[in-house]
Amino acid sequence: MTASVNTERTGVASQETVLEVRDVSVTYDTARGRARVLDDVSLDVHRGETLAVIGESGSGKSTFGSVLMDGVEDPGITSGEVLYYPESGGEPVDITGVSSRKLRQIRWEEIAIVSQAGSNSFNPAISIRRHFTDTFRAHDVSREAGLERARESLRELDLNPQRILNAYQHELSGGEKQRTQLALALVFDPNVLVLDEPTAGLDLLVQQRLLGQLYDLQEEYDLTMVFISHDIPVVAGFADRVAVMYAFEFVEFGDAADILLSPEHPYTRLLSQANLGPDISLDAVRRIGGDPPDPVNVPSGCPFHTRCPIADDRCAEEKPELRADEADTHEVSCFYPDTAVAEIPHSGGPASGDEQ
Amino acid sequence: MGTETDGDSPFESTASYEQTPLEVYQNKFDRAVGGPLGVLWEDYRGRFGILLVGFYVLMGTVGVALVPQPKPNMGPRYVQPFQDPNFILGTDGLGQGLFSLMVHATPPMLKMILAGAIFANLLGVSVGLYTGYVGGATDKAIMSFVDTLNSIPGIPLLIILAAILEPTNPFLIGIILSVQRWTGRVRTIRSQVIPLANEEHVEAARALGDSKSTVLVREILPHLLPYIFIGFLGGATGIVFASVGLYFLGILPFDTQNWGIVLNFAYEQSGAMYSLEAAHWLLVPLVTIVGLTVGLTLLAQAFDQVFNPRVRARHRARGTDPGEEADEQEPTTSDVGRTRVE
Amino acid sequence: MAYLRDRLIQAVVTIWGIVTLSFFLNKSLPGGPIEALQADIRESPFKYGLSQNPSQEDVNRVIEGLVQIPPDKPLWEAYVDYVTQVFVEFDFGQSISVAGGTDVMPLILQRAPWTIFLSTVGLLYGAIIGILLGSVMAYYEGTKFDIGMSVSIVLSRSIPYYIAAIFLLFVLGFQWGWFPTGGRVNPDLEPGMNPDWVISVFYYATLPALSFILTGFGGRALGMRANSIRLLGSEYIHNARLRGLSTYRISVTYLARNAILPIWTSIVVSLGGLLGGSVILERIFQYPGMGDLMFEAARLRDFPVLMGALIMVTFLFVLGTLIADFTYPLIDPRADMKASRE
Repeated sequence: MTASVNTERTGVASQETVLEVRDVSVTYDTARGRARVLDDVSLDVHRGETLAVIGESGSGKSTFGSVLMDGVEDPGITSGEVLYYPESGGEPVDITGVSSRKLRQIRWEEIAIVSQAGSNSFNPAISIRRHFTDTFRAHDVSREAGLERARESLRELDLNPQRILNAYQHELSGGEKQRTQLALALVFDPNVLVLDEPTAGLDLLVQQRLLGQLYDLQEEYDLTMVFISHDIPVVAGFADRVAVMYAFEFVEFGDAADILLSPEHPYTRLLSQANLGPDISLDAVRRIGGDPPDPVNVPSGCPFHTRCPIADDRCAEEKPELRADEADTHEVSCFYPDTAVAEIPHSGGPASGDEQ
Repeated sequence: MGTETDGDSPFESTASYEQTPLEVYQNKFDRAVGGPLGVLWEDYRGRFGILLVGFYVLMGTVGVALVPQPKPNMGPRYVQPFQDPNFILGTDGLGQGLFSLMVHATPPMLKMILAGAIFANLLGVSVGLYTGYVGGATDKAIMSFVDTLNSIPGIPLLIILAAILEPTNPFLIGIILSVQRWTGRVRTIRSQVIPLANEEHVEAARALGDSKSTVLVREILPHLLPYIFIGFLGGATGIVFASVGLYFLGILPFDTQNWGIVLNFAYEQSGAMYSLEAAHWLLVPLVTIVGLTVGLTLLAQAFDQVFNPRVRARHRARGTDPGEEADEQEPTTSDVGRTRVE
Repeated sequence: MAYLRDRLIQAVVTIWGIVTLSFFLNKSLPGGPIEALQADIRESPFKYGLSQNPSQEDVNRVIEGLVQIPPDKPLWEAYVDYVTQVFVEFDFGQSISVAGGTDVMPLILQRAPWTIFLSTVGLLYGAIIGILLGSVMAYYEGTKFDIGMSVSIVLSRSIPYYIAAIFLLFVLGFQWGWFPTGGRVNPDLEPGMNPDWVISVFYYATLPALSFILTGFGGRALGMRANSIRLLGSEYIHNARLRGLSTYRISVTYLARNAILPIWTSIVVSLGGLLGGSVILERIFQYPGMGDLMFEAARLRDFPVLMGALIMVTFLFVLGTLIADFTYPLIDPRADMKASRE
């Protein structure tokens, strides 16, 4: 797979599927029982779009991101299928079942990931350049060609290639590390980029800058982006579609405008309330009471019923499925979406206006 | 500790009662020793360790009264082990029962261990506490001295001291053997004290005007108990090593037989190395010594398992920690496919 | 750089410290060398080349020649003299026991390389085996191999190295005759860098080195294992896997490279233990090195040699630690050269 710059822009997000997640679950065994960190999840990712996956800590969204490149490691067990469509109209490949050689070719060359801003993806003992060259060698790319591309990639992100390549991980600031990670992820010009909380912990200005660069990159490379975050305002101006995760499954899913302006699931509505912003005063912020779900012991029926203000007996016994709502604007998994809209207030729209 | 809230704001509250130093210690003791002791027994290593060490202690106390004193010609020479019921472990080249020899050599060894470990810990812990807490130039000076002493290889130093002083009292020997050892303790204790010295309850005590020693003893020392315990055991093993070694070399003077001396005799005088007939003279003390050191090491390992928080956390995360109720969520650290679930 | 400078200063302080210690041991301890010498000279003056009833002056002269400390000079002068002798002229005095009063220094220098050789071999092999083993154990964590190895390591660490030595000597040396039972090289061979001789040197060093290695590798392995396990869950390892790097590449450059860092200095520090332990080991194997020299000197109360050897051994150890400290930044780019590593 040679490095090339795709100058053709295929326009706004197509309806064409690039990744199809079918009934995927991730479990692992603990002393207390079997933990299910992803519960029978199904989702389609469209080519060229930006899909935001929203959820709080421990909701399973990072696992979901991992699953997209079959990146869940022992002792976690992945079940289900993840179909990847390499080119428009091409044959899909189930990356969960594919040979390790093929997987190696898909990972990083077709689907890449940038992990959380706080975490450390770099080996502290070797230089950044070494990271790049190791990756080149693993993918049969010549060192010179690869480094050329790497420098290009770094420059696009406003980084000085000379300095960065020679540096060690601890010499870089948080923002620089994130951008370098991004450069490393883009070095083979992948089709899909998964970003797991790429801005967490960065200061606001750095965050804005990074988001701007991401936006530009997406345009230029016609990337499909899966943007995982717990911070709604960050994705608000960015996303084409939004999926909301709670208790290791999706509870609401649809076009960004819809979900953000008029959500129908109680959780999503409450989530918008719980966000702090410069124009929200302290006493207006309502916490969502109760505890986040325990992967070993998910509540019966609707997993949110223990914390939901409008839950009734049916919610405790029956589990709602994700299905289209009445107006068919998006999918919700709740028995009473109308009640939710009526009774749970919602601070409509993105709070701090991250319009790009 | 109970708290009462003042009416106005949730930020003002007073504690209902204070713990007296005794209660602090009792509490710590229970948590640090009583509880873990039970866990120790659970762990197969701890169980073995306790049994082994207990056996030796028994040998050294009760056994001495029950088993006859070793004398030359108590029996025929070179009796093989397990042949004669009078001499279960056989006899050596001088006709002394090996079992008697082993048993009667235990008390001096125990005394040495006790003296040495207590000395090393007393000195090491107090110096470590003091210098870690005080810091600054005093700390630097003390640590420089400690480092210097620490850099002198142990055995050569011991040889010289033994040659000069020619000690016979086991307690004294124990202390001498620890001369180099306590420096290691200082470093360990000190590295624990430094982070503790900045904690709030210590600051509070200081602000309240408690004298340095009160602060040290009340606030900091209790937290160090686990390390002191483990260090005690480690020191014990070291003393066994060193004393046997020195006796074996013949550097320490002796009046009664002990393990190292028996080894020495076996090595030099019997030709035990050459023949199988006298082999048991060599092997019996060998096994005896190893038994004690293995027992001590097992105990130390089991203790470490119990006290080491990082090990425990890892077990908790993997869900393999015995008897630990995990009320925190499992997927916090590196578990689920090594990705962090946030 | 400041850190390294501190270490250098500490090294110098240590050397100075040991020399001072040696001085005081010589001079002041009751039953110490000078007193012993005084008595001995009066008793058997011929041994020292003096006639019957030597004058105090003569006695002093002899003592000064032997120990480099004139017994009657004021403390300060004597001290300065001694220190200059040692540092500037490398003169440790003369041996009491070796015929004709040979200078101590050459004696030591003759023996030293062998001990260094033995210790280094033991250290290197022990470290390499330990590191490799630890990595493998971490990779197979939880399997029977890992558990079995862990158990054997606990056992092997509890056994003092000299006991392993005796055992090895007994079994492999005397009983089975696989290895020579004494000496450091085949006496019939021509010394020099020729292959036969070098091979013979290694052959003779096998058993002693093995004693160290077998009882010492465990520590390295466990440390390596613990570090590796801790690192295995790291994000950067996961990231490397996702990037498609081979298992080999990850194990070496991403895992092992980082796992070694914490144990680097401890490996070199164990050199001190090896140097010190050489005393017993060389005695057991009749290996004519510095340790054996110390042993003989201790037996004969030849203090000049003892002191000289002590200083030499300390010096070697300090040198070793300095090497470790100075090479650490080479492998760890994060090495903070500015602050002292506490």
